[in-house]
Order: sequence, then C-alpha cells, then structure tokens
Amino acid sequence: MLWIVAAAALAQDAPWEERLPGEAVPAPAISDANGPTVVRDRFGIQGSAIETIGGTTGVSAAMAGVIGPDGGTTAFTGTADVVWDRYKVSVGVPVAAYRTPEGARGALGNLSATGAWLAPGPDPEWQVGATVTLRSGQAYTWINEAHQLWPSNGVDAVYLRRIGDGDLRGAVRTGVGIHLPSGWDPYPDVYARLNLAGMVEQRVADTVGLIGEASITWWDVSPIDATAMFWAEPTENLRIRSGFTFPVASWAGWQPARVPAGTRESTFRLELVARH
Amino acid sequence: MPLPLPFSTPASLPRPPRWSLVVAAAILSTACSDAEPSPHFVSPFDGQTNWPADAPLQVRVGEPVAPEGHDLDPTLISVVNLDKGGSVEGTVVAEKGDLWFYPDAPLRKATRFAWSVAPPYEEARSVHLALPADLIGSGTFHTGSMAEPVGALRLGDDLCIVWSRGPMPEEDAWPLAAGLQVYADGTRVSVDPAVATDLIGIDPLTLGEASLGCLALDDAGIDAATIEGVRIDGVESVWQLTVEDRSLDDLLGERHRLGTSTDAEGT
Repeated sequence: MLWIVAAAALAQDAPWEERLPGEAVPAPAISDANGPTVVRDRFGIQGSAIETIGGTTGVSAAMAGVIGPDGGTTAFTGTADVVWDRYKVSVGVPVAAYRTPEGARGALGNLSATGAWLAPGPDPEWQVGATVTLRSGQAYTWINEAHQLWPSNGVDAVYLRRIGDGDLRGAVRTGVGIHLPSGWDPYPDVYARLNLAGMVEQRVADTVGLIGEASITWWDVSPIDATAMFWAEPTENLRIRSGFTFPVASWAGWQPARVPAGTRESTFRLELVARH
Repeated sequence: MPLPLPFSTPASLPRPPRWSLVVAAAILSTACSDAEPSPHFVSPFDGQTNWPADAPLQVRVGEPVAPEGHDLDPTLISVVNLDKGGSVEGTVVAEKGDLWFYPDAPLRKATRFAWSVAPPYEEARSVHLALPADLIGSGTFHTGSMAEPVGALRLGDDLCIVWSRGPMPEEDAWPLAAGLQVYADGTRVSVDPAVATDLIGIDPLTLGEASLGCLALDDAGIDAATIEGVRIDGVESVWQLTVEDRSLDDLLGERHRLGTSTDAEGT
C-alpha cells in the first residue's frame, strides 16, 4: 500500500493550487508569492505516526491508552504548533501513567521539539524538518513509539509529503534518526531509527473524515503499526480525532521485547485539536 | 635522519591497505574490551547461622539491574519464618549491582528463616530485569548463634568440617564444649579449633561468615583417606555428612549460588 501511495505522490503536481471541495468553514487567508490570495486548510492532513502537514497555529491535547492484558500505559500529550510563513515549530510533552509491580505510577515523558520548513503554497505539498527528543522524566514504559516516553535523547530528520487534494487524499512520511535511550532491557544503549509511514484520509461529510495509516519503524518496540481513526469538527476551529492503533508486529511477536505473542493489546486514541 | 630498523618491509611485498589496519584495530579493541563478568551471589549462604537480625539480604548481580528508584517486584526476594510460619514483610531495592531485601522490622532472633529469589515477573511495557539464572532458588539461614555443620571436606591429608558461622565465641572450648560429639566412620574424634574463613572472589555482607574445623584424626589412629562419612551429634540435632573431595571455595560458592554466567532468567 505504501508503494502505491508513494507512486501517487510522485505523480502529483501543484496541488496547492487546488481547494478542498465543499469546505464548510472559512479558513485563514494568506498571500502566496506564486499566486492570488488563497485560504489555508487549518487542520492540514495528519495521521497518527504522520505529523500534521501544513495546518495553522494551534494547540492539541492527546490521550493514547494501551488496552488489553498487556496494557495499562496511558500517555497524555500536550502540543503547541506555531506556523508563520513557511516555518513551523511544534513542542510537545507527554505525561505517562503506567503500571509497576508496586502499583500505578506517573512520570513525565520526553520533550519533543520539531522545526519544519513548509513548501510554498497555502497547503504545502511537502515539508521537511527535524525533531529533537530530550529526556525529561523517568517514564520507563512505552506506547507504540520507542522514543516518546522511555527516557532518551535523540534527533530525527523527517520528510512529509501530501498526496492528492480532494476528499480522498493521502500522505507519506520518511524519517531517519539516532537515539540514545536509557539502556535498560529491553532498550539498547543506542539505536538508529528508520521510519516509513503512509496514510489515506477520506472526507465522508463536510465535517467528518476517516483515516487509515500504516507505519514501519526499526528500531522500535512496536515495529509495524496500523491505525484507524475518524475525525469530526464540532466547530470551525476544533477537531476531535479518535481511533485505534494496532501493533501488528507485536501481535506476531516481532518486537525486540520479551513478551508473549498474540493479540494482547491495542492503543486507543482520543485527541482534541484546536487551530487558529 | 631516521634510525635504522632491524628489519624492513621489502619493496616487492605489497603493503596492506590502510583500511585493513583500521579493521584489525577495531577487532583487537573489541576483543580486549570483553571484560570478565563480575561474580554474582546471594548472602546469607544456604545454611548460614549467626545472621545479624537487622541486616538486609543481599543478591549481588554484578551489573546494575534497574534504574535507581525503579519499582521492583516485591516478591522478587522473599523471606519466610520457618519456626513460626508466615512471610517476613520487607522491601526489595535495587542499588547499582545489588538487590537488597530490607526487612520492615529486625528479624526475630534465634529463628530459622528461608529466603527465596524468584524469577523476575515482568510487568508489560516496563524495564525487564535480567537476573542470572543460577541466582534463582532458595536456601535457609538462622539468626541464632549456634554453629551447624554444612559440609565435610577432604583437604589434602586432613578431614575438615565447614561450620555455618564465622568466628566462634570461645574458640578453645568449641565445639565439643557445646555438646557436640563427632564420629568419623563410627569412631569418635575431636575437632581442632575452628578457623574463620571467607570465600575468595566475593565481597560478602558479613566477614568471616563460615569456619573450618579439622578433625583430629591422629588421636583416633585413623586415616582421612579412608573416611566416607562423618556423624555429628548435637544437643537437639544429628547430622550425617558425606565426605567430599572438593575445595572449601567450591562448597561455599555453591551455597552462595556464586557464579559468573550471564544467562538471564526472565518470564
């Protein structure tokens, strides 16, 4: 599927000159040097492993909770995005609640700061940036991504590309990075992180859409994930996203942690996104 | 002007490529960096007596096993009162390369206990504790001051008994004055004053934790090489020991679960 999406991405030309048909709410207008004044899709396109491409300034609050026999870990993440001209800065900090042999415990995850450069156009077709992960707490646990909670430092270079501009559109993400986690078993002392992800978004109504996403990452505690989500916009500046991430590789036992194989866990996601 | 070397590389021989030197250096550095694994053990050893009632139990792992302050499975190390029954309440703590069991209150004196090191239970999505497999097991210890035999060894021309505690309170009179009678193959013999001994290679919690007392066989006119069993009659107990041809370090190391293997035990 990723190859099909990637091929479609290469075939796309000048998508920022098009508008999303049937857009229900007005969005901020910006002037672009390449053409007349146009409006920007304030929510951009966003998956679970795929960060928002484009979009406007805003904040979001997300909850991701692992449910099932191997669950018990929940992360609450607050993120702020600032977008100006062709630049975007995002800063997020998760707080984790998880189980230990002596009971529930809470701890700060890793601070994540991203700087990105957006391609020209109101809704950039692609963006490139770097994400720095800084150890901030003692949350020795994980959700679906190795570097989010487990104490570690690292840096990733990320390339995001949107595909299509209609009711049905998609996006791909590639990333490469190096991370230095606190190397307690099952984490190594250092690992390279290679990521490839693809998503498809289908708008089913003016204010409702569906998302399907798949990602492959190595090294990761959950190397292959599949995500299904929906989003809805109760107001013009607010979007609610919810769905599940299924750790396919973990179910098959293909993960570098000594855990029983089987469909023992899934991650429930609930997010609130506010945009200017 | 360069100094003349006793040998030189003939011009006809090709010089090794520079990258090969780098690879060779990397291989050598890797080989040299394989440090000897540090020993692991449990203290007290199985059968030890005179254990301090307020001392924590120690499981030396050698390598740090968990982050400082990390919550460990409270049943990883457990202690049971064998005389009165019931578990001893305590806390399991990881400090660098050691796991400690701190009793919530001092242990009852003159009481026999059992300790157990269990395979680590791994909470999903958490630090995995890698305990060497040969540390997993159980043993007994006693907070009373009496000495008990834990083995009989043939050491050279001597036949010696390994006692369960360190320095004896009254070495000249002990252990016969304590009411013990020792028989070698049915012949009563006396025991030389016990000498405190440590186990080489470990850093035990309590020094001089065992003693070695050799049988005075000459008085009985018997030869150590012919002795197969030793019987010790105490005030309340009788021990029948099989004489073993092995070293003191080997015996105490086994009872300490001393090892250097890195095979981990997990779920």
